[in-house]
Amino acid sequence: MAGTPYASGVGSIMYGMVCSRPDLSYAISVISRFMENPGQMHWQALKWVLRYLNGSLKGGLKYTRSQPGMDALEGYVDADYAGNVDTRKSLSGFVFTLFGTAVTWKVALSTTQAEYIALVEGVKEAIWLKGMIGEMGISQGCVKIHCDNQSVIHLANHQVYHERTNTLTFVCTLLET
Amino acid sequence: MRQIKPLERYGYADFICYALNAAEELQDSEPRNFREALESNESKDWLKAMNEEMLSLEKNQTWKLVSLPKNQRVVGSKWVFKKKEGISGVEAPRYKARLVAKGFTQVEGIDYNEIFSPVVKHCSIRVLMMIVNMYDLELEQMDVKTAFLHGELEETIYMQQPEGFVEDNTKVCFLKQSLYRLKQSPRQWYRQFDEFLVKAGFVRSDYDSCVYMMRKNEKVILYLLLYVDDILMASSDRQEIQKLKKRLNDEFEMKDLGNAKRILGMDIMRDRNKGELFLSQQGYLRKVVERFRMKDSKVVGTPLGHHTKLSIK
Repeated sequence: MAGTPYASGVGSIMYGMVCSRPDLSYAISVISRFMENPGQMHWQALKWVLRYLNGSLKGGLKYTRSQPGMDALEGYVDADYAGNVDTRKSLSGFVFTLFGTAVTWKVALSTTQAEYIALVEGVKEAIWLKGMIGEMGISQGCVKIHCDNQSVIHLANHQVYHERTNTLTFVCTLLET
Repeated sequence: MRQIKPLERYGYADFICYALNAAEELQDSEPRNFREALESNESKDWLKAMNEEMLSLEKNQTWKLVSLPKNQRVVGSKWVFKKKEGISGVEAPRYKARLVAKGFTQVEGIDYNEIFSPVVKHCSIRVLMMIVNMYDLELEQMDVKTAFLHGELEETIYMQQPEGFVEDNTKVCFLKQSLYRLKQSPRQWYRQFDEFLVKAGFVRSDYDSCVYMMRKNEKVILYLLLYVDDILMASSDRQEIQKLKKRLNDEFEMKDLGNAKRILGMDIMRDRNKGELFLSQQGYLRKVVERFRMKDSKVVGTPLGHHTKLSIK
């Protein structure tokens, strides 16, 4: 498959993902792993993404005015334990919404306990975002971060995160079954 | 005997097609260097463009002609040409010539030290959009003309005189201000602009060094986001934005783009009555889909097929 514009395609879509299309994050994180030596399967996956794009060109981020009593900032984290077939690395990701619309998102590979890393990454982002919006005039007390893993919730509510639980409470809901 | 014919696809029509393509390319092509500019059919326009650039550099006092001190390095320079197609019959094409330094000949530690320059985070732009929409603020955009010429240099750099405009053979240009393609240009420009904003009363954000804010009074805050030479401004008070624009214009040469419509390839659409703001990249993504000839493909509903468990092999 040498000579196909695989990297160019991934890059072009990636720019869309970074700017206004969080829905492409996972797909990009998967197809961008094979840039070095893409095979036919990978090229097909890329074309699949393009077909999806073709049907959702108008998609983007829509910001609306908030309803009273709504939390400003809210986060969602999740992980896919050892989901990578080649390296058994895990995938973690998060999305943060501001009054209901996504403002920041990320999908990343990690080698350690995926669910916990996902939460840590989420908290790091939350701290930055909270400061940022505070400076720009939106005050936010606690940041809710949703997470579906019981052991991580347990871990987070005890020992390690003591200094941070003051500012961030973990409200954890079951997102998936 | 069987006659061997050339394959259909190498027919005459294809040759014509190829020739036309090649001709178009030749016609459209911009000169790659000074010599080509002089030899092209449009040499008059290019010369005029170069003269304009020289004048603006002179006005800007970008350099001083000096004799080269012993053991000093000289950075090369070259001309870059750009033709902006106008609309035929309405607008004449514009010819632009820019003098650039050969930044790749610079040596770290001698010709440059720090070169990092921050740009605004995408997230900050989206947060600003949220705020703009929520409080129904005015959102305007400007860009800085020849931004990189505004920076001041900290290092001592000598540069070759521009080709075709050599005044004295024995001398070189001692750069006082930065020039396009010098390694440190973006950084020096950022520093210059940052200094101006801080002096003007803005406070730089601790979380993103390209976000600036100024509190005018209890109600009015002025936001400013900087992406190299693109500037987004937001405030509830139109007057304040106009005042800021004027101040910027006095200091740097600016282009006023009015209400912000596009930033970093994202289209900004607003419906202020409904209180909605929409960010999309429809135009960009359509081009991508067309480039890969997937315009007429069957649409699928998911970004990745559920059956594709991809691996290296």
